[in-house]
Amino acid sequence: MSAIALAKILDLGFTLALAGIERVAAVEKARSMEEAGASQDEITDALQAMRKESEAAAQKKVDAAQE
Amino acid sequence: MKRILAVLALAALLSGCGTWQALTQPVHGDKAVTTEAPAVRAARVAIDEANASLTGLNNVIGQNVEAKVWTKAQAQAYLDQSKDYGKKVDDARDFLRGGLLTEAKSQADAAKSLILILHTRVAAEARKEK
Repeated sequence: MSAIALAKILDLGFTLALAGIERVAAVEKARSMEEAGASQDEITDALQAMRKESEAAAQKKVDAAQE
Repeated sequence: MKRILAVLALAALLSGCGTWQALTQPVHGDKAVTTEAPAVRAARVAIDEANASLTGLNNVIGQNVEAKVWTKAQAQAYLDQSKDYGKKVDDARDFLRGGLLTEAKSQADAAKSLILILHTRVAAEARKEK
Protein backbone atom coordinates (compact mmCIF):
# COMPACT_ATOMS: atom_id res chain seq x y z
CA MET A 1 0.00 0.00 0.00
CA SER A 2 1.40 3.38 -0.95
CA ALA A 3 1.71 6.19 1.58
CA ILE A 4 -0.76 8.25 -0.46
CA ALA A 5 -3.36 5.50 -0.42
CA LEU A 6 -2.88 5.10 3.31
CA ALA A 7 -3.25 8.84 3.87
CA LYS A 8 -6.54 8.73 1.98
CA ILE A 9 -7.82 5.94 4.22
CA LEU A 10 -6.81 7.86 7.35
CA ASP A 11 -8.42 11.00 5.92
CA LEU A 12 -11.71 9.20 5.38
CA GLY A 13 -11.49 7.67 8.87
CA PHE A 14 -11.17 11.09 10.53
CA THR A 15 -13.98 12.55 8.44
CA LEU A 16 -16.29 9.75 9.44
CA ALA A 17 -15.20 10.05 13.08
CA LEU A 18 -16.22 13.67 13.34
CA ALA A 19 -19.53 13.15 11.57
CA GLY A 20 -20.34 10.02 13.55
CA ILE A 21 -19.56 11.44 16.98
CA GLU A 22 -21.82 14.42 16.42
CA ARG A 23 -24.70 12.26 15.26
CA VAL A 24 -24.64 9.89 18.22
CA ALA A 25 -26.51 12.16 20.68
CA ALA A 26 -29.59 12.22 18.45
CA VAL A 27 -29.49 8.45 17.95
CA GLU A 28 -29.20 7.90 21.71
CA LYS A 29 -32.14 10.19 22.38
CA ALA A 30 -34.34 8.24 19.93
CA ARG A 31 -33.25 4.91 21.39
CA SER A 32 -33.93 5.94 24.98
CA MET A 33 -37.37 7.25 24.03
CA GLU A 34 -38.11 3.97 22.28
CA GLU A 35 -37.13 2.04 25.37
CA ALA A 36 -39.30 4.30 27.52
CA GLY A 37 -42.27 3.39 25.32
CA ALA A 38 -42.72 6.69 23.48
CA SER A 39 -44.86 6.63 20.35
CA GLN A 40 -43.20 6.87 16.94
CA ASP A 41 -44.75 10.29 16.42
CA GLU A 42 -43.29 11.53 19.70
CA ILE A 43 -39.83 10.32 18.68
CA THR A 44 -40.06 11.98 15.26
CA ASP A 45 -41.22 15.24 16.88
CA ALA A 46 -38.41 15.06 19.47
CA LEU A 47 -35.76 14.57 16.76
CA GLN A 48 -37.20 17.46 14.77
CA ALA A 49 -37.15 19.67 17.90
CA MET A 50 -33.58 18.58 18.63
CA ARG A 51 -32.55 19.59 15.11
CA LYS A 52 -34.21 23.00 15.44
CA GLU A 53 -32.50 23.55 18.79
CA SER A 54 -29.14 22.67 17.24
CA GLU A 55 -29.83 25.15 14.40
CA ALA A 56 -30.62 27.89 16.91
CA ALA A 57 -27.57 27.07 19.04
CA ALA A 58 -25.28 27.10 15.99
CA GLN A 59 -26.81 30.41 14.83
CA LYS A 60 -26.15 31.92 18.27
CA LYS A 61 -22.50 30.88 18.05
CA VAL A 62 -22.19 32.27 14.52
CA ASP A 63 -23.78 35.57 15.61
CA ALA A 64 -21.40 35.79 18.57
CA ALA A 65 -18.34 35.22 16.38
CA GLN A 66 -16.19 38.16 15.33
CA GLU A 67 -16.03 39.09 11.64
CA MET B 1 8.96 2.17 7.14
CA LYS B 2 6.91 -0.96 6.48
CA ARG B 3 6.30 -1.35 10.20
CA ILE B 4 5.07 2.26 10.48
CA LEU B 5 2.75 1.75 7.51
CA ALA B 6 1.37 -1.41 9.07
CA VAL B 7 0.67 0.35 12.38
CA LEU B 8 -1.00 3.28 10.59
CA ALA B 9 -3.09 0.90 8.49
CA LEU B 10 -4.24 -0.89 11.63
CA ALA B 11 -5.10 2.42 13.32
CA ALA B 12 -7.09 3.48 10.27
CA LEU B 13 -8.91 0.18 10.21
CA LEU B 14 -9.78 0.33 13.90
CA SER B 15 -10.89 3.95 13.84
CA GLY B 16 -12.80 3.26 10.65
CA CYS B 17 -14.72 0.32 12.17
CA GLY B 18 -15.74 2.18 15.31
CA THR B 19 -16.69 5.40 13.62
CA TRP B 20 -18.43 3.72 10.74
CA GLN B 21 -20.56 1.93 13.30
CA ALA B 22 -21.37 5.25 14.99
CA LEU B 23 -22.09 6.96 11.69
CA THR B 24 -24.33 4.24 10.36
CA GLN B 25 -26.02 3.28 13.61
CA PRO B 26 -29.72 3.51 12.78
CA VAL B 27 -31.87 5.94 14.75
CA HIS B 28 -34.37 3.20 15.51
CA GLY B 29 -33.23 0.00 17.22
CA ASP B 30 -34.06 -3.53 16.09
CA LYS B 31 -36.39 -3.97 19.04
CA ALA B 32 -38.53 -0.98 18.16
CA VAL B 33 -42.17 -2.00 18.41
CA THR B 34 -44.27 -0.50 15.69
CA THR B 35 -47.71 -1.11 14.30
CA GLU B 36 -47.12 1.25 11.40
CA ALA B 37 -47.55 0.16 7.80
CA PRO B 38 -44.20 -0.41 6.02
CA ALA B 39 -44.65 2.68 3.81
CA VAL B 40 -45.29 4.91 6.84
CA ARG B 41 -42.36 3.35 8.66
CA ALA B 42 -40.02 3.87 5.69
CA ALA B 43 -40.96 7.54 5.42
CA ARG B 44 -40.62 8.06 9.16
CA VAL B 45 -37.20 6.38 9.33
CA ALA B 46 -35.95 8.56 6.45
CA ILE B 47 -37.19 11.71 8.24
CA ASP B 48 -35.69 10.69 11.58
CA GLU B 49 -32.33 9.80 10.02
CA ALA B 50 -32.24 13.16 8.21
CA ASN B 51 -33.00 15.05 11.43
CA ALA B 52 -30.28 13.13 13.33
CA SER B 53 -27.70 13.88 10.62
CA LEU B 54 -28.61 17.59 10.55
CA THR B 55 -28.32 17.81 14.33
CA GLY B 56 -24.79 16.41 14.09
CA LEU B 57 -23.95 18.80 11.28
CA ASN B 58 -25.22 21.86 13.17
CA ASN B 59 -23.15 20.87 16.20
CA VAL B 60 -19.99 20.65 14.07
CA ILE B 61 -20.72 24.09 12.59
CA GLY B 62 -21.27 25.62 16.05
CA GLN B 63 -18.13 24.06 17.49
CA ASN B 64 -15.94 25.21 14.63
CA VAL B 65 -17.06 28.82 14.62
CA GLU B 66 -16.81 28.98 18.42
CA ALA B 67 -13.27 27.59 18.31
CA LYS B 68 -12.45 30.13 15.57
CA VAL B 69 -11.56 27.31 13.22
CA TRP B 70 -13.86 28.96 10.67
CA THR B 71 -14.70 32.55 9.90
CA LYS B 72 -18.17 33.84 10.63
CA ALA B 73 -18.94 33.93 6.88
CA GLN B 74 -17.85 30.31 6.32
CA ALA B 75 -19.92 29.05 9.23
CA GLN B 76 -22.96 31.08 8.19
CA ALA B 77 -22.78 29.69 4.65
CA TYR B 78 -22.78 26.12 5.95
CA LEU B 79 -25.51 26.86 8.45
CA ASP B 80 -27.71 28.43 5.75
CA GLN B 81 -27.36 25.26 3.69
CA SER B 82 -28.16 23.13 6.70
CA LYS B 83 -31.29 25.21 7.39
CA ASP B 84 -32.40 24.78 3.76
CA TYR B 85 -32.11 21.01 4.10
CA GLY B 86 -33.95 21.24 7.42
CA LYS B 87 -36.86 22.89 5.62
CA LYS B 88 -36.98 19.97 3.16
CA VAL B 89 -37.16 17.57 6.10
CA ASP B 90 -39.95 19.67 7.65
CA ASP B 91 -41.83 19.43 4.35
CA ALA B 92 -41.37 15.66 4.44
CA ARG B 93 -42.80 15.62 7.98
CA ASP B 94 -45.84 17.60 6.77
CA PHE B 95 -46.32 15.14 3.90
CA LEU B 96 -46.22 12.27 6.39
CA ARG B 97 -48.83 13.95 8.59
CA GLY B 98 -51.03 14.47 5.53
CA GLY B 99 -50.71 10.81 4.50
CA LEU B 100 -48.66 11.59 1.37
CA LEU B 101 -46.23 8.76 2.02
CA THR B 102 -44.41 8.58 -1.32
CA GLU B 103 -43.81 12.33 -1.28
CA ALA B 104 -42.70 12.19 2.36
CA LYS B 105 -40.18 9.43 1.73
CA SER B 106 -38.74 10.87 -1.46
CA GLN B 107 -38.44 14.36 0.06
CA ALA B 108 -36.70 12.97 3.14
CA ASP B 109 -34.42 10.73 1.05
CA ALA B 110 -33.41 13.65 -1.18
CA ALA B 111 -32.66 15.80 1.85
CA LYS B 112 -30.70 12.97 3.46
CA SER B 113 -28.48 12.53 0.40
CA LEU B 114 -27.73 16.26 0.31
CA ILE B 115 -27.10 16.31 4.05
CA LEU B 116 -24.58 13.48 3.80
CA ILE B 117 -22.67 15.32 1.08
CA LEU B 118 -22.65 18.54 3.11
CA HIS B 119 -21.83 16.67 6.32
CA THR B 120 -18.78 15.04 4.75
CA ARG B 121 -17.66 18.36 3.25
CA VAL B 122 -18.03 20.18 6.57
CA ALA B 123 -16.18 17.45 8.47
CA ALA B 124 -13.38 17.38 5.89
CA GLU B 125 -13.06 21.17 6.08
CA ALA B 126 -12.93 21.10 9.88
CA ARG B 127 -10.25 18.42 9.85
CA LYS B 128 -8.18 20.33 7.30
CA GLU B 129 -8.26 23.52 9.38
CA LYS B 130 -7.16 21.83 12.65
